[in-house]
Amino acid sequence: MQNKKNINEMFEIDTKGKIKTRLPYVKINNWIKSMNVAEIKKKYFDAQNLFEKLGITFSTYENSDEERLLPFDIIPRIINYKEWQLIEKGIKQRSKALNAFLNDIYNKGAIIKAGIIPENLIYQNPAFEKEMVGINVPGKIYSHIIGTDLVRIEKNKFYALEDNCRTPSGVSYMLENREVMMKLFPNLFQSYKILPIEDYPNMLKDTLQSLAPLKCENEPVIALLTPGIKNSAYYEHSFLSDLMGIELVEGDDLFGKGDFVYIKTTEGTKKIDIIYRRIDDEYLDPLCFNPNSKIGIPGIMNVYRSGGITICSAPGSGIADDKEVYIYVPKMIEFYLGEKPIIDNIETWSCNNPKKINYILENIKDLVIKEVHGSGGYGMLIGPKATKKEIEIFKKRIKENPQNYIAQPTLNLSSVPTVINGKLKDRHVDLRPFCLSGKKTYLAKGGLTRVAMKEGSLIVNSSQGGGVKDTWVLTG
Amino acid sequence: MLLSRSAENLYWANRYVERAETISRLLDVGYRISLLPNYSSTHKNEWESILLSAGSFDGYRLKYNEFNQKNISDYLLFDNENKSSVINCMKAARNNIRSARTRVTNDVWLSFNQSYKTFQKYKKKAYKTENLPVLCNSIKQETNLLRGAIENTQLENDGFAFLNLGYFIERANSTARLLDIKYFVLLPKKETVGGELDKTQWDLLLRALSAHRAFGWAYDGEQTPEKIVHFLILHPEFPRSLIYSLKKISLNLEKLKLLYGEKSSSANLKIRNILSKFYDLETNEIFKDGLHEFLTNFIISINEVSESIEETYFKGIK
Repeated sequence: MQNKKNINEMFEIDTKGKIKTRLPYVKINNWIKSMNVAEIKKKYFDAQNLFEKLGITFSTYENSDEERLLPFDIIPRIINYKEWQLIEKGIKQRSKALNAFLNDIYNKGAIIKAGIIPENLIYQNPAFEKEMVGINVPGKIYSHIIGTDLVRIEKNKFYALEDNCRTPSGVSYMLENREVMMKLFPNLFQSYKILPIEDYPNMLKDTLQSLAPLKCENEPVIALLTPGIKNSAYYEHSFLSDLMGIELVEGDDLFGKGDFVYIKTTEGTKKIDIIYRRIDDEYLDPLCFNPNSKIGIPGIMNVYRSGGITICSAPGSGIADDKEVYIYVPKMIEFYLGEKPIIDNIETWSCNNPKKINYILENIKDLVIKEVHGSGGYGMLIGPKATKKEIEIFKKRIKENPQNYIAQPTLNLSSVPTVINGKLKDRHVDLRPFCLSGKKTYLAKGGLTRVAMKEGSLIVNSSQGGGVKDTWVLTG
Repeated sequence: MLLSRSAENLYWANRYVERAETISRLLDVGYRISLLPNYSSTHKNEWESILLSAGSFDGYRLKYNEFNQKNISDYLLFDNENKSSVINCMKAARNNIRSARTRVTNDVWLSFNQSYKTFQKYKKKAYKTENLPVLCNSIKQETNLLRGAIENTQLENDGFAFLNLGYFIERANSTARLLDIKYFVLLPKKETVGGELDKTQWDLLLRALSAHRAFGWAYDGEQTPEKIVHFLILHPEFPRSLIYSLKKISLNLEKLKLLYGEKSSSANLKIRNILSKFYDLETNEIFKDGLHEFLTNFIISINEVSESIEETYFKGIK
């Protein structure tokens, strides 16, 4: 796979060896051709200015006072309807299987008893939350929002690279990218037929609302729990609560008492029923998890256990996106749903697999090595881009702690032309659609296309300088 | 439903806006004094008094030995270490609005965000003496824009009442302080009262409050200390007079009482009590008991109202 040139989403080479614009991109390509470098640069700055003015920023924890703009690219990424239908089915299938898996391992553990997933991988896993065992979770839904990262490495095929089951972020960029594009380039929207994504906040609210806790007898009151304005995704938190018309709360605004959780208001205390939390498990309840947490709600886990509140996502959901558990997602789909996976996994080996370890060590310069519990593009080795020294360090680490690493082939991510200094250059991209699971399952008709802004780079994470593009799904 | 914290955020956002404005007004006074012919004999006192009234005297002394315009304006405008510098006030105001982002309109957020960003850019420019009044003026313009955005786009609900309470509590405080500076600090010696210098200083005070013209409309003729004190304390139409702020505080507390359908809070009772005394007040009574004593007591009682507001609405437990 790694020897072939990557797929370009906009252009292909036809049978006669000529470069041809793929059909969905023809109008975009003509539009770009109609502009000179100065005009493209101007459009590019217009877009950046809009983002800055609106305060659409993210902060990095190293310097929390600094708020940065996510590099936004004006060339959209386009997906035709036929391809999208497959993605939609495939992602919904994964989401259902992952939720069934979470419900299973925190209750009967049938998949382990059936010998499909090794016991140790689950029960010894730091992401397995013992406090969740036996809790009656509303709707049996644990992970309400799943952001599966898709990559295209073959012409007509997307693969799932990982499933983000905790609190995937980026959906505000999906929505704002569209807003900015519509503001700047209304003509493109008149000439293309692009499926709208604006219903996402309503669908998210419906999803949350459909999972009222056992003891809730009224119309459920929903709040989004944020760590506060210094969090890197605060913009998203305020943006989503604003659009959903729900309360945006911090830990200090809430307290657990008796059977319920309450918020402090100017008129006294009010009961709340559903919490969409954007803080990590560890900080959720100082009485139950990390006792030093200052951003959590003491006592919320007791209320949760007794059916007084719904926590979205449920604590312990993170085990479903563990990088080694990922290997078993296709088997989960077969086990729980009795279906064949619609979207395939990337071939992945655990370094703990004695049959594979020699292969991995011998071919490490062609592989990607990832830490099982790492995220955000940190703690990984990209073999073909690594120095000899880095490779030696990783070899040593793998030999010492094989259970901490997985290996995958280096993926030739597809690329989309991207504006760099007013000129179009190919840059690698992935795609994160957002899937909602409540009483119904729903997939936003678009997603976040993340772009590696450096030439040749495969790292699309925003924390490491990655940018974003608007993602268009065309009508059928 | 309004979160206690959001109410607190809205309240403090506007207190900080008003504070930033007061500091720029103070600096403007300092600058104008420095242009007077007898400046050299008194300037030390005046710059000191400006630091005192900005609540930044001790912090300044830790950092600088000398009182000069460059250091003082730098400290009051841009110093990150000075909690009440204009840049820190603008930042705190903006962050409070950001924390209550779901309670304000897009227009309000954009103007708070923009104001802070604009001011950050000023910081990078090289210092020039003649820039000071330009800067002070642009701060006033920015704060006027923020107010406009609030007035024109916010719902007039409980959040709006807290925004207004923030303004007027801070404004009552700052007018009292500005007035106190003039009377108590600038002119400590009795014999100079009524002299040329005295008159110039009263005039400057009016200018600092953007009240020069308004005073002329309200009172024909000469600027006497009695008239000016009446104007700044008791004139019901002047938006920076103490009584004006008190009325607005009372109005907004009444509004909350109605909205929430509750009994009068302790803040309500306190403000009514202060106001009732103001209605019967005459300027000569103020002078008889001493303006400084009057203002000191006023600031204490306004702070008590502020504490009652915090106690009643920001703790979340009733």
